[in-house]
Amino acid sequence: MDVHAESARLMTRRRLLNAAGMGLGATALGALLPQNAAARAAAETARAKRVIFLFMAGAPSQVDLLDPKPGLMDRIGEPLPPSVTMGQRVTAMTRGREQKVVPSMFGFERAKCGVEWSTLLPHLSRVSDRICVLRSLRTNAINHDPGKTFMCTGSEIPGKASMGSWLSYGLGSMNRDLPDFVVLTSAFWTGGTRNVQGLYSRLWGSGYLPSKHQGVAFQTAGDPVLFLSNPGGVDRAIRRRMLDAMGEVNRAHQERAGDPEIATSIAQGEMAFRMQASVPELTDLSGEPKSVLDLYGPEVNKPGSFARNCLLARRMVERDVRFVQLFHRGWDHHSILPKQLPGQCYDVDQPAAALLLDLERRGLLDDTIVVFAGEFGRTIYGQGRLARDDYGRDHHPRCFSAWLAGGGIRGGISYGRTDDFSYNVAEDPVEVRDLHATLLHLLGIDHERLTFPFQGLDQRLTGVEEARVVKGMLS
Amino acid sequence: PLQALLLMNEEEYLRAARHLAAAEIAIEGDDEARLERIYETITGRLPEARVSGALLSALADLRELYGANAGLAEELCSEAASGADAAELAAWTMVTSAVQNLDTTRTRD
Repeated sequence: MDVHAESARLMTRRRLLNAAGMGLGATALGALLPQNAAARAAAETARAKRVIFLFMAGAPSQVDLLDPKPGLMDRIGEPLPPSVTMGQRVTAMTRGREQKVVPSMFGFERAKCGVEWSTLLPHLSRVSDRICVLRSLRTNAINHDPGKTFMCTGSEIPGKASMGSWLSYGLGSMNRDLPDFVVLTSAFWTGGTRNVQGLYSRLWGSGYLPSKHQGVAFQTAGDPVLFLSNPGGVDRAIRRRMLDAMGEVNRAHQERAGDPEIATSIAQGEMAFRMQASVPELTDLSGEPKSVLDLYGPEVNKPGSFARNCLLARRMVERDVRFVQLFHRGWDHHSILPKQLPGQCYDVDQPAAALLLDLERRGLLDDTIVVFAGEFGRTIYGQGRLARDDYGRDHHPRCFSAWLAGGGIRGGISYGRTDDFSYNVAEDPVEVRDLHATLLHLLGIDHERLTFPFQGLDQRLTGVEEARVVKGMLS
Repeated sequence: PLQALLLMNEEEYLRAARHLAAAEIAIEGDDEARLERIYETITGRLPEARVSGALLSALADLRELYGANAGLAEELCSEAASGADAAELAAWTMVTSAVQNLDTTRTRD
């Protein structure tokens, strides 16, 4: 790859800005404007402006939470017929073993709008009329790393740009004092720590996009952002003067070398300066009324909890952060699922429901999409012990469930259907790329037109295969 | 921005900057020569005119800012001998820190 040729191609955007009367010196203003024609059109057709993505890392069991199969209650221990499995690739853990059905020991109840929810999720069930439960998601990945990478970047192979980076690139910033894309990971989870996979910064990385679009991960414990304060002897005026000098020098280098990543350096220095003022205000919860804190539940008082991260997410979208992604781990229940799942649900049920209500009360739910999803589903066949009240489930890519709310999503419904075994999708399949296309559509972006040339391909979040916008989920 | 915050505000980086600045002040000579040496030490290159111009202009402003605020200068440079020395050292420390934080310092081709 010829670096200079690639650079020259990237420079065309800068030339366009120059031609439109805005020079390099106006990059600060340029950063606020949509970066290409597709994004300009977005402002007109968009239903939503922001996304909060609640990523349930480890893969929550749809069988026990979102996809009820009451018909299996009396069929525990039955082997899965090959007509159902149809040669599905399985993990090394399950290969060669018999696949025996084990139904969920947790009951399901119908919410007022008619959608069924696990009894483990009572708070979410009560706000079901704002939520679309998606039961027909499909993915190819069978293990966590490729699965998470796929959900976050649209490809199982690492190195591509993440969802938030695409939005930052395509739609620009709404608030220049905060990053476009913030990541909050839970510091702890109640559902056991037996199988917990790591999270990698490439899940919120910018891939081939200019790196100023990468997600900024806040610390899980202690100060949310390290080194925020100037050291003794440096006040804001001095810091500003230093940054001005650095900016001048960096710009001189950029004009000579033409490396677009120098623009990232300049931008990141400026963002750091603004965050020094904006982040303390953002993370100061002392002004939140008790009624709001109570809404999120008792865990909200613990720094690093999912509940607190939900509250912070609300504050972020209030301040027009474009994409907030929460990661909550601990869902990978290969064994003792009945013992661990209730704890996980305790972690997320009340705070997620509170987030929807909180956003709604502030008039933010109409243009903020909230997504709750893992990387794949779990198998109807058991793993480990097989008793009615003691079982595990393996990874399952062929169908899984998620839910969406706000920002143009139709509430009070479920979309898609799986077969009797929650094994295959029976109706209205939604591939991960379809989910991405739908999110982009709600934000006013045609997923086929938001591209970036790299390695000979016009790269897209939705990849190279055809993807559809799932109209049935939209209001 | 997390990287930028670390490089600007972390103690050890600042201490290194202060150390280099103090060594340069001890040497007789004019500002341009000192800046050239600092720049070359950190980046491995000599600064072009536009670059040294920008940094020397910052030096002048920082001298004023620290000259007007002795307390601030002393906070940054607690081991300097006197008020005037502290202001001079503080100004040079920040210029050195600025050079540390440049893109060209962090990115090696």
